[in-house]
Amino acid sequence: MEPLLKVSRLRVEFKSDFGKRTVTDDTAFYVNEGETLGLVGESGCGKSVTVHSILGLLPSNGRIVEGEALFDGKDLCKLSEKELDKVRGKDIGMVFQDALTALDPVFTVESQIAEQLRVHLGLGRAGARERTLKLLEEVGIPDPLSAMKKYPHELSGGQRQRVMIAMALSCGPRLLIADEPTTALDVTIQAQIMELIGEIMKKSRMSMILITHDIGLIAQMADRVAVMYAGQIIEEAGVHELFKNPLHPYTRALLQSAPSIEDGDDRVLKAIRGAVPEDYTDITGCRFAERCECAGSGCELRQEFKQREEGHFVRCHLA
Amino acid sequence: MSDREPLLSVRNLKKYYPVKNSAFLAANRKLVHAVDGVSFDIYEGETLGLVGESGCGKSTVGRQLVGMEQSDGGELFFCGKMLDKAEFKRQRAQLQMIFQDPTASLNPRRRIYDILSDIMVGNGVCTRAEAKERVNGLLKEVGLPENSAERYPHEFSGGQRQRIAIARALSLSPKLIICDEPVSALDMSIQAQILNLLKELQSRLGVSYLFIAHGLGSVRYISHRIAVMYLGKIVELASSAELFKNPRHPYSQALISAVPVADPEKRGVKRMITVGEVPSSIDLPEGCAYAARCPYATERCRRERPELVDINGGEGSRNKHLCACFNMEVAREGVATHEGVIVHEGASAREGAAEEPAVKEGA
Repeated sequence: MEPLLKVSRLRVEFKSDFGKRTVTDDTAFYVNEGETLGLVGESGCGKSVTVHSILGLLPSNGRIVEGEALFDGKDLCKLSEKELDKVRGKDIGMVFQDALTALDPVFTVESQIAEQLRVHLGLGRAGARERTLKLLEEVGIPDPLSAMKKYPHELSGGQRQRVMIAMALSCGPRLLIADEPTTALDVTIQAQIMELIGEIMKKSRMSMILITHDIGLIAQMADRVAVMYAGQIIEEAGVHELFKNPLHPYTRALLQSAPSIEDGDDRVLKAIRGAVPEDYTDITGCRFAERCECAGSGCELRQEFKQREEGHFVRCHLA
Repeated sequence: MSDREPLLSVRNLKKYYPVKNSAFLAANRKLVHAVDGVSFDIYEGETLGLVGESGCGKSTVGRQLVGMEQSDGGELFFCGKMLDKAEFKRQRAQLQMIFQDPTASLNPRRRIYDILSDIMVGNGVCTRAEAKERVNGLLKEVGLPENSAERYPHEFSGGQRQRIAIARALSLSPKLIICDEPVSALDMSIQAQILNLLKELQSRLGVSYLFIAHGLGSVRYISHRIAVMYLGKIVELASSAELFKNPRHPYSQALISAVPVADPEKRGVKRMITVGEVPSSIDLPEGCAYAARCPYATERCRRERPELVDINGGEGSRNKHLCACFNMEVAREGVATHEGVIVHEGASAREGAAEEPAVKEGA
């Protein structure tokens, strides 16, 4: 079966006053129908840039230099703005981290959701209204009738996130991109939102790309996981395989550096020395090498993304 | 550890903020109950974790301890003496603070040497001539490279900046450091470095921490005892191991069970999903603040306010397991059997969800 979304050889460049800078390169991943792909990595590693680029949402100084992103047979990187508009919000829904900035402050909840329904699905005023009400009910907003008339600032953080999910789901997307959907929320609210997303996934056979830096969330939600470091995907595997048998030294270190509530008193966290390189454009070899415990000869060479075991890819010659 | 005098005792601490542009008449003015009668002890060489969701007042407690906020009630005892104005001035150097965002808490125009030496010279810890050596010693202590003293804050990474903030807090050899979300602004791989550094400094210098955070994983890792706050009150306080093994307050149970566990094999584990959201702290309910979200709430909970009681019966306040709930026994059974936990009315607005139990099986 063809995957729903297949990204290959994707490279994104940003122009600045100091010249060009490659932000992500050699990015390749796929998402099957009904599957959740977890994209995990630290801030600035290129997680968001990757999904923004395939949706044509890069800022004006960024562009895709090479690569393709096949969604349902169409290359998203080659579509015009107009053609992209037909896909964004309809076949691909997005949920962003900060609902307060993602929602328009001067329009009511109803008009923001109804706009999509009228544009993408051609619904009339009354039809859109009815559908909006149903969507808000579905995402568990108490008293949806009065919530519809409210502006984003009148809602709590959790409610705003629910509104964004309702918006993303409004046109029955086949792929949901959730970019840190719960990072700004408290844990009890996060549990509610993730529960909601999980329920919807089960019902609708929708696919999801879940971007997060929370290892726990990945463990609970994802089917497959891609780990990013400094602009590259460095490991990809099924979620059980990745947690049981991480091959890349960075993935291993990452899993060991997260404190867990299930730890005993005697656990010692394994810290990763140093910090993420700020500019990794000129590093030709492994970008993790300077922080890696296993680094040795061969790490200065370009690292290929290779399959080591069935469905388990890694970018490290030592793995 | 023996049960000596606590280093710091907090008794019935209060902080109310007036709501802005409410009314012209002072009598009508409403109050946000940010901290509403909080009491706890911190012992020498100990870390007390303070957890809760945003807006529960945990940061305000920390800020009151170092005098950044005036208290509206309550007493502080430090080393056995009551901290009144004069005593506070004498002891101020013993109470230090580390903030969440080191970029904001370090002056960008001053070199690290200036930032650190001024505090020490100003407080008479050392002379200008000795300062250089002291600064280098401090930087070494927190694991920064040797040439750091001559550089500016922007030349460091986030994790290194937090190390500088720690060095500044240590510069006067304090007895207690208030750490307000010291790792939540840092990258995952750096968090462990800072947590380990704090632990190591504690075992070497015997300093105590009040560790304020919302990330339960890091709090569990660093704290000896943990206090759980909800809407300006401590609802449960116990040793770290005890709290996570045997949480008794329904809110602590929900909080702990809401944390996603980093193990895909544990997906089948039943989780408690709390319904509803934290109510506003302006019009606090008459009874238990958590009653509106609590699956075990009874009529009494809505009428009366539960006080913290010791359920461990342990000797000395260090071994106590305090919990403020009328229905602790029911709550414990609810967790043990995962039965009888039913969604309360707050969720019934969701059509069709009314019959669903609040405890759900993971996918």
